[in-house]
Amino acid sequence: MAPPTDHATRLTLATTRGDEASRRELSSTVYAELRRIAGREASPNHTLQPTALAHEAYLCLVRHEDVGWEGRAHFLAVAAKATRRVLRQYERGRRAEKRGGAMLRVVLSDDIALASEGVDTAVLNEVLDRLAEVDERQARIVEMRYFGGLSQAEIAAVLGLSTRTVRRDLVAGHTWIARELAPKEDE
Amino acid sequence: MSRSLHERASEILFRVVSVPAEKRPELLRELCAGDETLRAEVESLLAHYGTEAFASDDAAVPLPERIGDYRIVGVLGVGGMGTVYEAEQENPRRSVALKVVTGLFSTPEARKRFAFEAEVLGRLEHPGIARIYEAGIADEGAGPQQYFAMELIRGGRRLDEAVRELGLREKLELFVEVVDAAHHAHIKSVVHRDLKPANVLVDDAGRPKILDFGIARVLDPDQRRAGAPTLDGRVLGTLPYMSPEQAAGSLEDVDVRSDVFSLGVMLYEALSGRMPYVVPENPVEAAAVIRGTAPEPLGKTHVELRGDVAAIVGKALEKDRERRYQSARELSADIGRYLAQEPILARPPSTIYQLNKFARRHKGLVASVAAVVLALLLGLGGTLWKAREATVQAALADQQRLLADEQAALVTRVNDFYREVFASVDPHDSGPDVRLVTVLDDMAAKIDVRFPDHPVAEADVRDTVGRTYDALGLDFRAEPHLRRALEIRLREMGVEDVAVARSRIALGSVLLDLDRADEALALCTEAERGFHAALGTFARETLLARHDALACIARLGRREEARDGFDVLLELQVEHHGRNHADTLATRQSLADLEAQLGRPEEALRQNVQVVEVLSSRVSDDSVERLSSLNSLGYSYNASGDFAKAAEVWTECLEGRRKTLGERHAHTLNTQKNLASCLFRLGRRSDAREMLFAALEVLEAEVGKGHALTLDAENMRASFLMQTGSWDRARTQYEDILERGEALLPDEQVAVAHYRANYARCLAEKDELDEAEWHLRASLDVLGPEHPTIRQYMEDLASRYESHGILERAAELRALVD
Repeated sequence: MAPPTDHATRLTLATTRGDEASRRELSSTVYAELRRIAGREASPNHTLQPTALAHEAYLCLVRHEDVGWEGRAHFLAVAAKATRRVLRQYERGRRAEKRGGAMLRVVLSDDIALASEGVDTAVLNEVLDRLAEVDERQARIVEMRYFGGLSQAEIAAVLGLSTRTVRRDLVAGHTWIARELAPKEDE
Repeated sequence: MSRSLHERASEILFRVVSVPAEKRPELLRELCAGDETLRAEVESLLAHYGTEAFASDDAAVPLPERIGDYRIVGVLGVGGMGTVYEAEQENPRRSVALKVVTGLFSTPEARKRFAFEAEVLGRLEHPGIARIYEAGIADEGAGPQQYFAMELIRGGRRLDEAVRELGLREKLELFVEVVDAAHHAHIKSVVHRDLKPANVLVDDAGRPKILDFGIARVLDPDQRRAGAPTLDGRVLGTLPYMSPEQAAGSLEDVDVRSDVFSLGVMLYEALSGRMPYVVPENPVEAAAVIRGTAPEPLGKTHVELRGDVAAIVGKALEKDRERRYQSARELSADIGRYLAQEPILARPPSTIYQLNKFARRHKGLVASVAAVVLALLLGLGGTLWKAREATVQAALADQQRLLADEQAALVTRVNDFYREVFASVDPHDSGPDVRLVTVLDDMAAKIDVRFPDHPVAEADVRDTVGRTYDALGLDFRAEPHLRRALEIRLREMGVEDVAVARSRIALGSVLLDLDRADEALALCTEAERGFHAALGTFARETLLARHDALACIARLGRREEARDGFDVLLELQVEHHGRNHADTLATRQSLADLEAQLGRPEEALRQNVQVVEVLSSRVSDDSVERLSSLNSLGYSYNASGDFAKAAEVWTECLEGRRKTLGERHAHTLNTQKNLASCLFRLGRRSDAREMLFAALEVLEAEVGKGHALTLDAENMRASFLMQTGSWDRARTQYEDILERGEALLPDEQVAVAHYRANYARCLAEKDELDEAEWHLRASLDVLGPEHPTIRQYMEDLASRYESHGILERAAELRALVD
């Protein structure tokens, strides 16, 4: 494991201040780290927990005592997007091996009852893409929550929204996705 | 859908779900103010609000920042008693599951008691129980909250889901672990009181962990809420799993035997897929059913559960706790006895029953003993029990002696035969260096007439002959003997005898070498089942049989599935037989070969290098295992494009194999063929041809033209022709190879798919594009669109279509591999 670096810590701080170039650079750093972590942990049929991925990247890369609460939130917001990209990559690899039948499953929330359900990453990614066409911010909020593991308060801070709005968008986005995922016979 | 419609629907949905269900329709009407489109959209969403498919815990209260010393990270679940958060503890630094219950007690005595009980729970340490690290009370401004910091278990599955794919034996083995864990808590005077499948998680390694042990009691010392609705209207102590005394509200009667009952319900459900009785939702009616309705007999719908298993479950589910197992240990011990085929306690001891058990354990011996004893017993009608017992013992002892005599006779008979065969080898005819294969052929010819009345001895000899042929690389000659041995053993010894499993695995591995993976897979799977039942889940032979089954699966092209299986197997072997055990290393090697086929040569290389390193330090350079690992290592270098390194490794392997196995052994020839292809790529074409042609010549002489290995070598010869531009000759050879391959191997085979792809490439070169496309598509179906050869040939074919102006076809082909 690479030790937390000054570099990633600096990038995180700059991102928190709103520096766009730093955010982009942080994004690619995080992405590389996630690839490494996922490559170690993912075997087909293995359940990857997106939030665990993002958190591990955070613990590995950043000296958390330096970046504080806000830095963590911003880092995880960046990590959420990168996590989705990584999972998409694995999904592609899986599809390529279409005869295999193995499947990379993702635990959507950390709810124990749901953990066993798992939703196909490809399906979730696709549905989330569709939601983004309807309501980009809502999709982004769901992404942060489920791929980055940000709390509602953290999302609100990163996006500069009220927690009520975040909660509203989570409830609505969630319900919308549930509808998309449901079997279609009722329509 | 327009952006604004969704935004408005989101807002209304959020407001509507914030009120109780019965008030929703009215509020919805009001907020939509006659906009029917909007209302329809919200109603449609509402139908999916909080559904199982994608349940949300975000609708609950916003996350607190911290509780006590714990920083809240997320919500794990919302249950009857409160909320479970994922949290981080600073010191010691760890992730925990934090169960928080709001405002339950107020008096100082109650708090003291809570602290005391929590401390007891903290001392429960068992691998099958989720640890409780700490319990405490925190006040974050919204009144005092009790919390438990518990071991966080990630990725586990609920018990009822985890057992679904297990066989009877595995289910019972899993339950033994659960019940033993419960027993550990019981001896520390902690009763769970809410055991149910949702409270047992099974981790990725298949180990169960019981959650929330003792929490029900700590939270509710007086069991006020047993069977009664909780604050949020749910029922605590989940009714269907509740014991009769719990359901009756006899609080002082709830002890470890109540947990035994709940475990019984869980076991019943796990084995049969249904509940012992239907429990109504209404708590009063439910209590009546639990106390009064006898469980549906397990054996009624599930014949295989009749007898011992039904008796064990029945004893756990006795309504009267005095008649139940008196502890969890008694229950797990009885399951253990059943698994070991020993008499269980749940049954009254009858002589016939005990004998039956004995007969199961000593198949073959006792069928006749039982008859003898039965006759004796019937004849002795009224004699005292003691006397009967003595008679039984005497009869058994006699039979033991008889059996020993029979064994000795068998060994003598077999040895006589071997001696006779060796004695008949005449140095005057054959010269001083008689080849083993000559002796084997001689032996094989004599078996038929030698054992007319001794089938078991015949099976033994055929088994030896077959295995020896196989070891000499003459798998096709091994096959008929192993097949016959299996037939005889099945008939004479019964399907459950471990010798049958051994015969199956021997035949299966030979068939795999002959590339008949379908049949081999069936045999290996059966063998694994046999070993499993006879020797246990983690016995060497059980795991080796699984290895061979997975190798078959890989050969059938189901490579991802095989890799997953190998991953699991590897873990089991490391755990049960050690990291450096020969079996473990063999699995790693198989896994590495598979990684190479899956297009991950770096991973394959890494694994193989390690295996070779371990073996090099532990066994002699020319040991069979090390040479085999070198052969694999060569494959991974070859797959990663490092042909020079591959050639180096295969050269060493070839020399070793020539020395150890001889020049004409199938494995030697295989390596020789591999090395030839490598040298060809390195530009040493005449060396390569010479080496390959020599190998082919021996192969044709030793194993014949119909052998998979010969075909493979011929494929290579034809591919040399392709690479030097002799397309016509290559094409003719492939026609022949393909024809024989299809006859010899089932069509789905990886090997045939390779030949077919090469044939297609030849056809394309001759501009027979339709025909080429057909073959290439068939090949793609087996090898998959990621296969480098397929991709290359597809691209070639597509550009040929293009140069003919057939653009759609070209695009279609490219899409196939994109």
